[in-house]
Amino acid sequence: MQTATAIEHPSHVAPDRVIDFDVYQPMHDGLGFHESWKALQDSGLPDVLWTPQNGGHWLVIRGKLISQVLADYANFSSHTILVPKETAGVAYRVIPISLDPPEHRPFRNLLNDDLSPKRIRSIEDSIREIAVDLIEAFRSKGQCNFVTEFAEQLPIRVFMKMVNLPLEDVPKLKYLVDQFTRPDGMLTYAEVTRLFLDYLEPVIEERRGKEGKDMISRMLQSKIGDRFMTDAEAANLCIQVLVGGLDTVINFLSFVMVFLARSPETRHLLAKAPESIPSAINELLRRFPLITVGREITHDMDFAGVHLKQGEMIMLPTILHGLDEQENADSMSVDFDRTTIRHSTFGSGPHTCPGAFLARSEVRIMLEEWLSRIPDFNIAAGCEVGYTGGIVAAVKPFSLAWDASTTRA
Amino acid sequence: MVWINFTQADSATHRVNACGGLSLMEAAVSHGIEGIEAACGGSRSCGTCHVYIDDAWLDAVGAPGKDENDLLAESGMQRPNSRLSCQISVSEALEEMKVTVPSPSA
Repeated sequence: MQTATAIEHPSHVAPDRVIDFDVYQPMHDGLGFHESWKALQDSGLPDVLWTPQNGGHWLVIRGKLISQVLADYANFSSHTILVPKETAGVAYRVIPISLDPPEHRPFRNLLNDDLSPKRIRSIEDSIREIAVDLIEAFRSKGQCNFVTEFAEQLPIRVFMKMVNLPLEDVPKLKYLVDQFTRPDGMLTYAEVTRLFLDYLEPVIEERRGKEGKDMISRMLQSKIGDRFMTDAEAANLCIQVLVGGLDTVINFLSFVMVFLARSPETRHLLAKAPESIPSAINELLRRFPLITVGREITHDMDFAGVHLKQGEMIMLPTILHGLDEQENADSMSVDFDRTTIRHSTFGSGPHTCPGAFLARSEVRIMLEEWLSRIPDFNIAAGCEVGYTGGIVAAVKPFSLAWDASTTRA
Repeated sequence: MVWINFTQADSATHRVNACGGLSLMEAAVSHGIEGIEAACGGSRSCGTCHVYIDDAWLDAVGAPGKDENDLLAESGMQRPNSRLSCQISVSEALEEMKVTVPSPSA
């Protein structure tokens, strides 16, 4: 990370706004993921910056402004949400995340039906059953690879059941999802989209016109205004459903468990008072946001001291809302007694995460079942915890260890 | 933490302790208030978290925005004190606020 007047930048960008910062690779100076973003926010730079990385774009580093831009679809369109605009941005124009109101709403409503609190409550018992089975499979061994044996298992098994796709397809689908959220350069975005479509098109064809009760079938049976979705729209919507369902919660669970492994007092607090878990989750969401997403500027305008031009991209690290001292005092501390908690971890405005209630439920069920069975655990000896940046940040696979005699079924 | 008083359509009342910064909808859903379905998860696209705000707190919560107003109008149950609870952020100014949940398909 460096500010340098030598960096080439458009003439309407003042030199004091220019910084060389890759939003998808924020880690620097040996700091962790959240600490790296926090260091940028605390470096005394103005609220809105410009970086030449990823095709050149604006970058907002203040919580209140991040939340404001996310919700303001008239000035900041979701038509493009990723950078570089010309590659990732163009490839990832999927329904409904890249639509603005009013076109957005009917498609969004299709997603809502299967993700509403009422619906999720009806599957809570089956989520809990999966969580218990996973924990019991390794509890007596005294250790597990948390990411591969739990975090990647719980949300994916729940989700594959919701969409009625076979578990054996998970490795292939997870690979494609990760190529969008944390690309390793092996495939272009266009290739990832093509592979998704190759997988989804036969699924849609097979379920179209049938009475299936799974989420994909139900979306095909629902109307957008006065018509059904076209095959192209349906495939497009399903890509977004898979990306949402197969990545974000996994990473959040991992960040939470790394934190709890290193924070015995907090762990004991939650284990002793499980009734405090639901409200504690909001604080954990504030402290461990994951996502950096963008908006395309709809017209030339002055905003927060800079001049934005139509078509430019502006990136919004949701990480910097919950971690902003101006929004949450002593923001790096996890404090379950906060009286006010502000964050945009699920976004803000029309695109607020439709799976938020499912995510909260999965985190709560994990904490309830894990802490009652394995109340004491550590990062396994010799295991280093590493992070991967991206559109959605991840924790690299790590192992937890515990004394099996302190656990209970 | 802020206390909010919900009256459900069946006249049952619930006094709920909500953390500042949560939306009123999130506070209601996490305490299982009946009639606040929040089908769209707070994205201002469904109208199923409709509430009536007691007059004493109307100034504190403010008026609905245009999109919100359109959704409230579509509900057929809009009153001058109607709001979508997903669009209200809980703060100390709402301490002890009284909120009524509309009757389903009134």
